[in-house]
Amino acid sequence: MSKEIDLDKYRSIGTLRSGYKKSTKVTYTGYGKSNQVEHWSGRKDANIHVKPIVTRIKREGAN
Amino acid sequence: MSWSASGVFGQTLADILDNTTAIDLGSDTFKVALYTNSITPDFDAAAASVAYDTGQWATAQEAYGTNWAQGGVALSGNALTVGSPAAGQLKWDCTDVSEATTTVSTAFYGCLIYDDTIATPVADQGLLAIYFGGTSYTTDTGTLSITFDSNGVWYLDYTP
Repeated sequence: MSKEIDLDKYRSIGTLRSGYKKSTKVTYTGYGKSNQVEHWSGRKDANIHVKPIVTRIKREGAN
Repeated sequence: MSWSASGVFGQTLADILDNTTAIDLGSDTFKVALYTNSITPDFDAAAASVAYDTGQWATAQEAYGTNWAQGGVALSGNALTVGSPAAGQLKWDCTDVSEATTTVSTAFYGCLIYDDTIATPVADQGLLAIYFGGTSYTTDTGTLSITFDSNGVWYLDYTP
C-alpha cells in the first residue's frame, strides 16, 4: 500500500530536507522501505514578444 | 539552414496588389503556425511555395501539440490602419495570442502567418513569417503567448 504525502504540510514545519521542490512527490511505500521520490519539471510557459516587420518605400535622389 | 530573419512574402504582396488573389487583410481569417529551426524562409519564393504545408512550410517541420493544434491558431482582430503607427504609415495588426495549458514539446523558433480563408488560386497562402530571434521555445502545460508590438505585426512606411 502506498500513500502520497503533502510536502507543503511538512515544509511548513521544517521537516522536509532542503532541495525538495514543490513539484516533488514522495510516496510512502511501507515501514522500513525507502520512500519513492519523483521529481518533475512542472509547468513551462512560452512568452514571445515580437517586433514589427517594417517595409519601407525608399525614394531615390533628392527630388 | 535555419531561420535568420522575419519578412513579408513578396509574391503574396504582388498577388494582392495585382488582384491575383482576393486576400483581404482586414476580414479574412489568418492563422499562426509554429516551426522548428530546420527551415529557411524564402521571402522571394513563388506563391505556391509559401503556403501552409508547402515548400519550407511543410508539416514535417511544424511544431504543435496539446491545445496548439496542427495548422496553428486563428488570429483575431486583424485590421489595417492608415496613418498608423505614424503619419505616412500603414499598419497591419492583430490581437495578441495567448493559449492556455499548451504542451508543445518540439522546439520552435518562428511562425508562419497565413490566410485561412482564400482557397484559390493558392490555399493557405502565407503572408509573412516571424523569426523569434534565435530563442528556442517549448511549453509544458503552460501558456503560449505571442505578443505583437504596439506598432503592429507589420507596417508599411509609404512616405520616405
